[in-house]
Amino acid sequence: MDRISAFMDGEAGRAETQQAMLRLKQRDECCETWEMFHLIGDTLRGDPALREDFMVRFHARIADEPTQLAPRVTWRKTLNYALAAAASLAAVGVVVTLVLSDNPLKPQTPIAAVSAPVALARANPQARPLPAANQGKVNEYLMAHQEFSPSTAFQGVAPYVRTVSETHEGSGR
Amino acid sequence: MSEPFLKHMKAAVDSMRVMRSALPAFLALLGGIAGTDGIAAETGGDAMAWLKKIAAASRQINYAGTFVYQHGRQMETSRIAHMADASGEYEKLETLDGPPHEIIRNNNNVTCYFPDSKTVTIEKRTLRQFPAMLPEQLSGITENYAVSKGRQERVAGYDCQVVVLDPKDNLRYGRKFCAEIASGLPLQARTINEKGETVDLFVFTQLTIGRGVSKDMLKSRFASHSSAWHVERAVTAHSESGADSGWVIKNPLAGFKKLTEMKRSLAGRSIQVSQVVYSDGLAAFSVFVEPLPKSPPVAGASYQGAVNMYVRSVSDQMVTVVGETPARTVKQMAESITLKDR
Repeated sequence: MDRISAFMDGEAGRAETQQAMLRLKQRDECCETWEMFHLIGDTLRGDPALREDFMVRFHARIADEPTQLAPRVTWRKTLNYALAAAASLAAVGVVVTLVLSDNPLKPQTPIAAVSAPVALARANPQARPLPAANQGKVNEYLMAHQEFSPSTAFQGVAPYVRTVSETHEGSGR
Repeated sequence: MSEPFLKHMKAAVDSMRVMRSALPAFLALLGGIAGTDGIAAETGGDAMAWLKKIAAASRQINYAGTFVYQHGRQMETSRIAHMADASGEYEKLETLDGPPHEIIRNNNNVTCYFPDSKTVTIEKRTLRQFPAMLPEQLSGITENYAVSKGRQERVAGYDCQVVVLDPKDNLRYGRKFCAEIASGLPLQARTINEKGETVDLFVFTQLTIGRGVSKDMLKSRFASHSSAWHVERAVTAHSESGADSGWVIKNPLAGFKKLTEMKRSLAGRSIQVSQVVYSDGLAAFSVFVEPLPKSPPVAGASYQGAVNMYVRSVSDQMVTVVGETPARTVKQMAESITLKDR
């Protein structure tokens, strides 16, 4: 469970990731855990949940599709297409989750490495997460800004977690 | 894009429309953290009264609890405690995941402990109180947001009132609070982008309000053995009237007013930077201007939850705009800065 969680969050190392993928392939229990974690995440974020048999029906529909021979498309490209299509259908969150959780074994890129930026890249395709190398300096600005932000008037010191969270990421990876 | 792929997407959306059955079970599982969206039932005065209640509660109420901060696909759990008495306000925030960090607020002083790097940063404030809900802030909010009351929800075992702030343009994010009915304490705070997606989220999972909060909960675990740690201080040589920062903004963004301007030092650095803070009453961004460092930073945009940042150089100066505003806002701001003739 812990390993799957770490893998999902992009915190697993290379060996751990491979192990997690193998486990996901071999054991139904792991797949359930994987889906459960995603569902919990979706629910916390307020993304709408899918019907219970959604994955079954989704797989069935995929199986029905004729195989198309086309130039190889990178995973990230596919994801971008998915995002564009999804945006036009106003169902971004769910579809992204769906695409990611449906193909846990397919991409060579660690999922979280793609998925972490994706969630926000939707809002702002040009931006990137604050780079780890600049983290120390970024914190100074965040801290200096936070003390004057009205958000503290509504939430007290809680928004400072954005600052701490930054350090956390930087030192964690 | 291939037709079949689009077909799948449509199928996904169709399935979403009919789904519902699994949701209640998971809401129960999560203690009802994520309720259904509130429908704006009342607007105007009553909603504004709730907003004031939220701001007052955050200052005056004693509380201690655990909250989850979620941004992108990351989730972090922290513990928070707050106490107010005749001598002032005391607050403690500590992370429960990953490396331990502590933030202690003691009236106007904010001290951060980073045990993994054995560093303490101390921010001492001189003139200004910690931001409070000021009358001009309220008018800023009504000018830039439609404030409405939603339905009641339940968070961390408490009934709470949804208050929605809908931005009137795309320069700012929307906010959705769920405030505890009796005290007004925000149990949930969501930042929402123009597509209606959650950018980041604070939500209590466990909370004690009022009695049961003790001074022990506000003490640092690290204060006693951090005497040998590296200390970084940030000082604000602060002037409400405004120090001349040597630069001007050509096109101030609609709805954002200058809150304060100062020359200051940042934690761990000796050089002085100019900081000017702009706010619309709810959101704010800071503009920092300083001499271009020897190793110039990567110019461009970056983000952390609802906080966006934009860095660029203007002649020999580095401009950094940071704020809990959309990327386009910080970018526009950074690009409209001109240095005065010196």
